[in-house]
Amino acid sequence: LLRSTLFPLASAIFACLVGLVGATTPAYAQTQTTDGQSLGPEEVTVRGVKDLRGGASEDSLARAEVRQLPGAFGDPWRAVEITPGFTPVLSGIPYFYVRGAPPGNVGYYFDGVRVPYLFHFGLGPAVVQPSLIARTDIHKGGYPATLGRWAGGIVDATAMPPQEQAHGEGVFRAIDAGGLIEVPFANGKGSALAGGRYSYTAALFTLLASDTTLDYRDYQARIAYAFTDRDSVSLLVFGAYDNATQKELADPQALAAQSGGSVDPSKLPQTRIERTLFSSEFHRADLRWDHTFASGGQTRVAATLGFDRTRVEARRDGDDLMTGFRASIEKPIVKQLIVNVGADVTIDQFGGSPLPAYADDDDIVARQQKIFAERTDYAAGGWVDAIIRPLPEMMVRPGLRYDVFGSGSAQAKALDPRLSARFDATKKLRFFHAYGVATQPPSTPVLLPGITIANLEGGLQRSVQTSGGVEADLPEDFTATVSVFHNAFFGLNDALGTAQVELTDIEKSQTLLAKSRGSAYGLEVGARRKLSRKLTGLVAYTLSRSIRTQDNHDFVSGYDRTHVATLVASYDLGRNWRVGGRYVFYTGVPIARNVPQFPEQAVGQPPERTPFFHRLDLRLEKRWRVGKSGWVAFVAEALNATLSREVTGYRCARELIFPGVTSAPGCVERVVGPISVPSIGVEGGF
Amino acid sequence: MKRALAALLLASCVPADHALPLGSLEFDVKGSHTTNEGLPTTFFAPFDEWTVHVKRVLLAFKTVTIGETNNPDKCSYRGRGAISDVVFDPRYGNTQIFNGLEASDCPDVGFVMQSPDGNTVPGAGATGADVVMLAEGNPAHAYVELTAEKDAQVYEVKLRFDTLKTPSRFGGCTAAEKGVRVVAEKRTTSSIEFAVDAFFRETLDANAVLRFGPFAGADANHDKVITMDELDAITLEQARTLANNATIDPNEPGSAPRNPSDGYHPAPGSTITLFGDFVRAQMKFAFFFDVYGSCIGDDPGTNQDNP
Repeated sequence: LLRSTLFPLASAIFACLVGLVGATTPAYAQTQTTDGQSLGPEEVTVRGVKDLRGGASEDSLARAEVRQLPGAFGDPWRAVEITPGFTPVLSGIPYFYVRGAPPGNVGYYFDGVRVPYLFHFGLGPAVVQPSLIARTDIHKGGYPATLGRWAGGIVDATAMPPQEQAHGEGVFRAIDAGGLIEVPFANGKGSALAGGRYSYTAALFTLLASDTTLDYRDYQARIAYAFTDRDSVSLLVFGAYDNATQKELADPQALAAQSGGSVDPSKLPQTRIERTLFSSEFHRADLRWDHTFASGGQTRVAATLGFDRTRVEARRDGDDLMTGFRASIEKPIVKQLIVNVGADVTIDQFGGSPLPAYADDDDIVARQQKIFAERTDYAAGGWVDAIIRPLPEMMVRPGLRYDVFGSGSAQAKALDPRLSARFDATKKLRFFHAYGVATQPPSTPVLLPGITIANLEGGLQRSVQTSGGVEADLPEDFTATVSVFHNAFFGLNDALGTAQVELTDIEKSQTLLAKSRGSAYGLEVGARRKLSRKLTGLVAYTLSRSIRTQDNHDFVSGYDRTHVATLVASYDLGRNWRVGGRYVFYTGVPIARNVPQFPEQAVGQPPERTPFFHRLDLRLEKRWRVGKSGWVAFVAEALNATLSREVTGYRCARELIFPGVTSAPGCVERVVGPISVPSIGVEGGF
Repeated sequence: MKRALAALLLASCVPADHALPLGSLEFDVKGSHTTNEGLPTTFFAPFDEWTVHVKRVLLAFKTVTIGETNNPDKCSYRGRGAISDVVFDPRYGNTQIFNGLEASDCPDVGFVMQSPDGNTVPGAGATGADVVMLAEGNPAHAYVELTAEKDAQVYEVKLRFDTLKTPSRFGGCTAAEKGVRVVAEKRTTSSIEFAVDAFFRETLDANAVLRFGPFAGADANHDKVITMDELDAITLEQARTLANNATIDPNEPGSAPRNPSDGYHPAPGSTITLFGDFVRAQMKFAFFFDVYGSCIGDDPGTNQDNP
């Protein structure tokens, strides 16, 4: 009784104290621990059941949860949208605002290595085999000082650790196939893993004699060896490739001009050229040494080499040769105190071809030459982070992070304090708080390999993140969370949220490099039921408001959605059949009022917001056990099975105002879609 | 070094982009010397020796068109092709730029004028009221306001060119060569100059003699303001008479004209009978392409003749 009253009180005092030193609104983040479970013939083993080092600032998704989520196609990164606080930009497009922070401020990591993009062609399958990802931690704010350089959230996927038994998984779908296999060696001291995905879209397009080529693939490989009981080395290599091109007959005159004009165009043979529409690739090699201390604790030293490249239309080309080093040590000092210290440096050498003059509108060329500029960027930093447990039911995690950013001749420094805490009032009731300052160099609206804004144009982006809440274990294996958050943003690059124009027109607006301030606050509610139940599922709801300030003008962010709700249900029909559905609902985006360009012009005025959107995703699975540990499954899945179409804006008429004549031009909806992704495939593993 | 290392260590496999280098075309629509500076007496001498000052000129410009009539894929450009749909005073000019063009000939160049609509904006030297003035009533795409002086006589000329009767599509722009050539990684500039002197020509010809006499004589209400309605009130034959009368020595009334006009005839095949329509038809010859060329060919993008 004492604890159940003491800790809520302590939690409130904690929030107030933190509020006094800078945070504005107590807020919340939740944690979701994952328990082992048996799901029909699929044996699910979840490791690291409870993160004793923290758990105050992140949500976690286990592989088994992701696999059963309709419309996620088994991709952990796509599944993050079920987390409260995530606001979609557009249905089916896996880019999100996280507690008001734009998609470009959300960082993605795979086993500690930065990933420049997550999905083939932005909305296709994930660039890393889902079966390689054991767990996905979603840090929405106030995260530990070990993480940084993103002003919004961080999604950190943890690779499945090396296994002592050979295992593999594979999937065959209508458009691609992928798989993964891992084999131990040296009596289990080592393991070798290889995986990848290959699309047959290129072959399909060739069969259809199409001039367009669409091709994607990815690869992952890991070799790990434990040369002592306490020391292991591993090399993780992964990468992805996307390519969309169009073949066309070259204009002989243009060809002749390219050769200096000395050739008679009429004598040139017919030539087909392949024009890039969109191509991108990234490659990563991460070599690491892990050591466990006899007295407890661990250290990791790692080096990363990477290469990124993006090519887009009009001969735009950006690339980045990345080298990085990082070292960290985590050591329990006493039973109640664990200290985590680390440092890292990342050097990005950006190159490529800047958008040539005259390749597009002059203002677009000028802006994009700033983005595609050749230069060297670096980020070096260090952090110290302590996990303090004065009582078994109480955890406080202060941290401090210092970063130096450089790009070309520009340099900037950042000192980011962090603080999170968890109070276990009872075994079934927990209070959480997470506060922090997060800093990031200027960013583009979405992540693309080899492309960032150069020379720290406009300065660093900063956010002050505050959150707090409560989590309760309920009867019938339900867990519920309620939290509030309030984030403040400074020097933000939020072209999407501030452009006040259609998504496709952003390139033409000044907002690509413009800065804004802003804030976001809201309420998040979540409830889940354990996967081990016959009927399982979750509910996620976010009530929020996101504001931007630009040129002393306050307005609602372009992707502010007041209500975002997801309802997921999955039911075990028996005989290894499982059916599931996901219902997604969200409020439309605000639409700016049209301003006439001159007094004699009348412009149609759209509604204040686009209509709400809702869709239904479905999933059906049948599994068969094969042998002792093998399984095969047939999976039919559809994102947006209801073929819902989304209104993204309005096209409004303009009329001239004639004397004595009343003018009332109207508006028509701009509709996208339906963006619907059906998928039928066979999965298997052993 | 960086690239070599990257190529050696990493299997980067995105293919090279074979897209051809791109160039740009710029079209400066502006006033000719006569539009900018007016017409001194020498322009009318020795026929009727008036001096014309330009007070206001408005053009409702839609867009320049580039391409090859029989090859719609040619000369396609990227971007907005700014600045189009604008009402402007050619003495201040308006520039339209097309970027992202492959190096090639674009033989069919023209431009379109159009009475303003809701998407038209005021450009240099124009106001929103000017846009409305052209759009309201019988929509027009050009307006010219001049002052003509001779001895103690002063006339104001206010001509509003309605789109229904006035040529508004100008194709086949030709100077030294037909059309324009896009050069890779360069911007090629062309000019389209509007010449107000065209409206004073006695024939439909860019080199015709200029006369103000028929305009002065058309001032039926003697308010010293000459409008298109007044020009529509006289026939071409009357205009020719007025032109001839203007060259009769005032000290010898009834004498023969010193420099009689043989102009003011409709073009072959034309049904023009009114002086107002004759002046409107001069619009087709009022633009010079690259200083000495013209845009009097087919409509842009079609094989249709101009109206």
